[in-house]
Amino acid sequence: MILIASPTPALRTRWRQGLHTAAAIHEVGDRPTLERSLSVLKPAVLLIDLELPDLNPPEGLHAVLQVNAVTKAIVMTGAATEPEGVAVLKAGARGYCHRDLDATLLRKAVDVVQKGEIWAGRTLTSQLLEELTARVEERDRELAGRVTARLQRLTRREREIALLVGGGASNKEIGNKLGVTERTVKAHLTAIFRKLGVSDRLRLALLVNDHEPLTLSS
Amino acid sequence: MRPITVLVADRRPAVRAPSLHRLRHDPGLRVVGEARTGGEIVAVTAALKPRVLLLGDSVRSADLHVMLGLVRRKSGRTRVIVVGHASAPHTLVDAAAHGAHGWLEATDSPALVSRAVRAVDSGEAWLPRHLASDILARLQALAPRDPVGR
Repeated sequence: MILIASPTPALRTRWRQGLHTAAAIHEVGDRPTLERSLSVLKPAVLLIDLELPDLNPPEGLHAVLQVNAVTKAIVMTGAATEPEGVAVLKAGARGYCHRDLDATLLRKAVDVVQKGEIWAGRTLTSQLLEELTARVEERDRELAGRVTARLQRLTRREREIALLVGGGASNKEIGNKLGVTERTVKAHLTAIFRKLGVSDRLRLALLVNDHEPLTLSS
Repeated sequence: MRPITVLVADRRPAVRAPSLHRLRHDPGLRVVGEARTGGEIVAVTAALKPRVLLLGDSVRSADLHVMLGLVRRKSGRTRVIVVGHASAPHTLVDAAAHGAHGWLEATDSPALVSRAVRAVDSGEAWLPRHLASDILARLQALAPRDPVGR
């Protein structure tokens, strides 16, 4: 079952004809009917026009897409932009494309989202990536802020090793540089992780770089 | 148009060689250096600030993530493509979350290397299409109480 939601009858007709599918197609023209249909019919795919009255994206769209967990939604827009695309995907849509998408691509979009993939432009994926990286960095920085004071608890040797990890060196490289075994480096690292309350060398490396200058003399 | 500067980094010469060969025969690209070990990769990237870093996955994943984090801090405009070996989807998403802009498999054709370098340099992500779904899921998991990202 595919559900089509748009206030414009001509658009609904065009999409229905374009889909040219054996699956049942149901059409709605307003938000209350859409929500009832999503709840009762649980369609596999929803084509939803961003112009639907009272949709209020992205918050309202997010609420609509929460009605059931099985329907994969493709948002259809009049003027595709990257910020709008990112917002609708984050609101739970699985696809984002222009209302005038041709019939072949529309069918492909439906196939792609049914397989669990995302239908959106390459640059949108890039935007999602940037945002993901920024979120991960933000989380790391928050963690770093909490452990600043703990840096003072390291011994001189531990600071030396922390600095080398911060420079990107592996345990083997550190061992060679300091003239100790890899095993000794690991033992120091375990102590450093415990003192700083960090779980791995990534956090340690970022921490060291966020708190430069971490010096051996202090 | 100035050529895109590229740094090729992997401890294994056999992995660096095909990329280097391809890149050196592409007039739109310029290889500015090679690096082998973790410390060297970070130092050379910081010094040369290449537009694209081709980074082999010859280190364990935690070290790869460290490297990506450090490259981002020391040369924020450098776009990174990781060159992997039969990589699992979660490995790719992890690397992407830590700052990789693209992913190539060592078995990919040399022609793809040039295309990938150009794509990431122009701001695109060079990742398998099906990963967009995993990236979105990871993004949503990081902000459970803020689903629409306001």
